[in-house]
Amino acid sequence: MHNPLTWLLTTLLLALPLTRLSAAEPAPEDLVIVVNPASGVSALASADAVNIFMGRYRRLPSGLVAFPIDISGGDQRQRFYWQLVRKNLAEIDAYWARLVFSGQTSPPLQVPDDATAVALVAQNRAAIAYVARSRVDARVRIVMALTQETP
Amino acid sequence: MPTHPSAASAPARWIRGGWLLALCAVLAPAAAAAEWRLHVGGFGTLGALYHNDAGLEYRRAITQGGSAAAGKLDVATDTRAGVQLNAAWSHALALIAQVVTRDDAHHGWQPQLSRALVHYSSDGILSVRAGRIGWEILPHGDSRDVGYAQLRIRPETEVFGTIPAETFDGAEATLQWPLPLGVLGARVYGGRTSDHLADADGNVSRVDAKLWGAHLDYAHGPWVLRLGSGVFALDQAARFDELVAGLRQTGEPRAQALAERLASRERKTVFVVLGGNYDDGRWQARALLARAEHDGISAPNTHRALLTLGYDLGALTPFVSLSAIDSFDHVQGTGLPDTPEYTALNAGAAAVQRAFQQDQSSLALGLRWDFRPRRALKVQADHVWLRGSTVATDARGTPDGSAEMTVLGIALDFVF
Repeated sequence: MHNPLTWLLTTLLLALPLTRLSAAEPAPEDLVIVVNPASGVSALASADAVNIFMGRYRRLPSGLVAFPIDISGGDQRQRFYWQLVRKNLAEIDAYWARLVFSGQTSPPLQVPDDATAVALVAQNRAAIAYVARSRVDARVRIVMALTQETP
Repeated sequence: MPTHPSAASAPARWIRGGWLLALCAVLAPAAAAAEWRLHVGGFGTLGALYHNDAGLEYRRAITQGGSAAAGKLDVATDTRAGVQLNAAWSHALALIAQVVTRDDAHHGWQPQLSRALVHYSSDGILSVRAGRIGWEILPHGDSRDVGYAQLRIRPETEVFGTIPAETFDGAEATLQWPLPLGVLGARVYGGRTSDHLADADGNVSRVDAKLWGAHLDYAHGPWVLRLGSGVFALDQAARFDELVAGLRQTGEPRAQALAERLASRERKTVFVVLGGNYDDGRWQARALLARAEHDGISAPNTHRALLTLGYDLGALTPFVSLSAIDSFDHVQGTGLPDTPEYTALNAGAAAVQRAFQQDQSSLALGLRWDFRPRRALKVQADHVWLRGSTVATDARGTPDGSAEMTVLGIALDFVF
């Protein structure tokens, strides 16, 4: 029993510095939170965004029941949650595992990319999503900009 | 092990949950043309643990029939799996059914219907759930089978493993109010539960009870605080008829008072819970204090406490955790002289009281490695202090003794 455990702990400790290494990459694009122009929302506080995307209180400031949307492709989801609540994706997934498998609430709907998210927000008065600023068009309204920060 | 008189047929829990599945079956076709979204998900843990403390056996909960013996690799204690079906409609209505298999009170792996509920929330302020629901008398207590959702391999045994029920059939309503600083939530619930408990010798007893309660949650930034109270009303406490009759016949007031506390009838345990989570950036912390007061002797009067700290290093999260349960109600004397005439009564009364006391604490050190999305590997070492008999882990039959043990565990958690 000792040998496998020793091996495992050694592996984990050796893996620790590797997890902190990252190659130099171009700066990612700014993320913004967008809503439907008919939602009645012109600006969103950070606390409201946390409440909506973390399932604490799912109402827009205008009173509509919020319909949050996650982007599953790329690293956008990871950047969004780090910038919003300073949590990595494993922690976010663990958080939702508790709520989903206890039957309390459901996570945001996941869509593959910005274009799908923008299209859904444009079609649904209560939808809310985060997308790269360059993907925003006239069909949606920016209500919050996230600060550039990466894990 | 005392026996509970309200035994019923083995599949009773399935039958009780069956009407909910039937409701799901009726509702689903009726709304087939609407915007139903179906999702099948699941969770599981492959766990192994080892200890080398002769005479002691380790369990993670009183609902678990098996236990890990010294010197043997145990793969049953932490291993479990569950599958859940969600059918959601227009973000307001959801039907949820979940089946879990694990080492149960009968030391078997028969799948159990662990959730079967309807969840409705039309406005984001009021939500209602009805059906088979997890009993969250303690914060996070309704997800104790979902290893991936936990920082540790298993929820703190002293705190969560000693709760006599995990689910109930009933209803709950939750109201949420946004405040200038945070969100306040209030929940009330009530229903019935029936579960099987096992003692360290593998004897199984059935527990039928009503339960109800309420709690307030306050979430602000990284903080989530909980204040709650709940009642667990056992239909009929364990029977000690001969002992009760003997104590009553003595005429001694203290013996008679003790007999009334031992008599088998409905018995209530009242829980009061104060808990909190702090989760900001790399730090996550969780603390809880709970008091349970029982109006008889067939369950202990206890204080529970836990403190767990984790620090996120990226994929790795080391953690440390302290937890304890302590019986604050000491063994009461009968008031009878220690003469041969009363020796058996005195010994019996003391033994019964000691059998329900729980005094155990543990310190856990561990590491969680999220090596892939929705996969986590954990290692954990628990050092456990046992004082006297405890329902959770002491199988030595030495109620006056104290012991220590060190348990090493490794687990692979996943969700899909």
